[in-house]
Amino acid sequence: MSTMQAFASSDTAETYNYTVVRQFAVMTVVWGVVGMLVGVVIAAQLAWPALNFDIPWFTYSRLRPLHTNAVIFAFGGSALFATSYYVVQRTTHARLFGGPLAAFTFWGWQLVIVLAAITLPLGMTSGKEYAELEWPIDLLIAVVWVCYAIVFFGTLAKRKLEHIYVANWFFGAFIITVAALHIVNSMAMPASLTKSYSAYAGAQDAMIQWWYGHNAVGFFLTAGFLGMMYYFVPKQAERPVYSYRLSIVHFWALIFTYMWAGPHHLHYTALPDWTQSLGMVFSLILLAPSWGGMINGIMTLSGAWYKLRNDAVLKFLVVSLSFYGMSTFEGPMMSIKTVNALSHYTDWTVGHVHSGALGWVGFISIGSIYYLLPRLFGRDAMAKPQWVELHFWIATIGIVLYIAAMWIAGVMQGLMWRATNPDGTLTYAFIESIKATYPYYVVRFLGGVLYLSGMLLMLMNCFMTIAQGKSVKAPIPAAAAHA
Amino acid sequence: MEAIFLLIPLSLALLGVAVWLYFRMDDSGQFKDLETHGRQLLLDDDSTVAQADQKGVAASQQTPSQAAMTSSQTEENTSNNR
Repeated sequence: MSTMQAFASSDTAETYNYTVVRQFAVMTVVWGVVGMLVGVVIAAQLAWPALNFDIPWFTYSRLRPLHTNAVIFAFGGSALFATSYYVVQRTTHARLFGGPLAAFTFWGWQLVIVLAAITLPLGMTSGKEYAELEWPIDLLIAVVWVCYAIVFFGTLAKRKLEHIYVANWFFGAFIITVAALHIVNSMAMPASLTKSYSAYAGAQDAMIQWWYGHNAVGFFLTAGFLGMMYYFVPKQAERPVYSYRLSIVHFWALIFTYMWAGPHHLHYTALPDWTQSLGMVFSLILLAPSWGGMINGIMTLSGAWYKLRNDAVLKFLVVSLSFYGMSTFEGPMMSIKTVNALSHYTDWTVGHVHSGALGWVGFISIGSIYYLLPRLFGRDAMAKPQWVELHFWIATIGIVLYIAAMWIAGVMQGLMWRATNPDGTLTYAFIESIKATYPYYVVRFLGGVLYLSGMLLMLMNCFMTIAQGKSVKAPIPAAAAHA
Repeated sequence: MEAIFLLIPLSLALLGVAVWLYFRMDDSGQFKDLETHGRQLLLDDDSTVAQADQKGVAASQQTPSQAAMTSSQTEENTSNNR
């Protein structure tokens, strides 16, 4: 669809803006397939390095940031845009604020993704993990993000219902914090159009980078998706959230304590010891709000557990919460310095990230899109409901293979690296630990293939649902209807 | 560690904004009744099967009261489907 059509097809004032939700929802699935495909390719390259083919733009080092950017910002970002635009409209009974601004955020965000897909394989990078894009793209991100904030908060401001539903608090915090993180961390001195140097240096740069990095996990990959959870879990279960009071406490507790955990990424580095310890303490504190939210989400099903038997969408949503609980327990444990001495720089970290990414972020997004898509296209269910069930099981087995392989590989690497002989020399050469990891890299690759297969199934299912349905214009309920 | 002279004030400022916002919202009564809001979410029927049957366009041309009728029809449709 061209930009002009996107602007022209905007509905009348009495309907919700579903056009932009549809666009982001479809692109969530498309970018999910692309990003996970790149993930499978680089997983294969780690097991079989010959697959780098000695082509510079196809090497692991350049495809890895492409994978992380594609899954976090293209897949996750599109899911967040789609769901936040849907939720804010449905819970305020107001059409998106700002007219064509919402369409601009869609096309602007897609442009960011395409530019990332071109520049990263070409080797243009600022070298900052999860913030690799060069300064012109960073500027574009900032502009799109400010427009996103205007659309979202403008809609909240003109809400027809007095109460702001809790999901919107999470989405709002995610939008504001990511803006602040992005702007501070991306400060750089341009040397040319495609090269810049960070405004910070050495340990300072590392601290800023992981203040950004961990809070991006906290607000992009957690708060935003919790917003999703607080809307789609109750809606799909047809039950109010277990405790609305706890959801408000969950939100404020997370906001008040999250910001200080970044230094745990820099244990045993040049960062001062007290900063590392502070980061560790705050990481441990985070267990409380995280588990409060996880329990609140899961207990929403109390008295309705039977629904899990036949409802594959609900399975995705509830299992995502169990992975959220798992990884928010594992994370604080790994931030303890003595545990970190074993786990740091090993594949355990990679396993931890993926239990959060595939299990929590992936499953909550997939479940939410399965909920949304039929409603956006005037259907009462996906074209192939049994494929949703199949997708669930393929993906779950994929995650289990992935994280179990990385746990074993990570602990093994940590033990091999620290093993010493009686005379104080190292027992193993580094290459021996790589050789020992090979079978686990193969298992991880298989887990990734399964997860990607599930995503392809979802893509086909989405196309079939769209083909059977038509783009609906949902009327905004009259003020009296739900007073 | 000059970075902390930027990060700590910045994080404290964000914290301050959050504290201010919390008390402002508390005073305005946002957190007064924490029982009904959770249930209210379920009253919003977002099924669109009925609109699609009416060829989509019709819905946008309705007056608000007709639109409300459409959504109650939708409610019937969904309960039939279950």
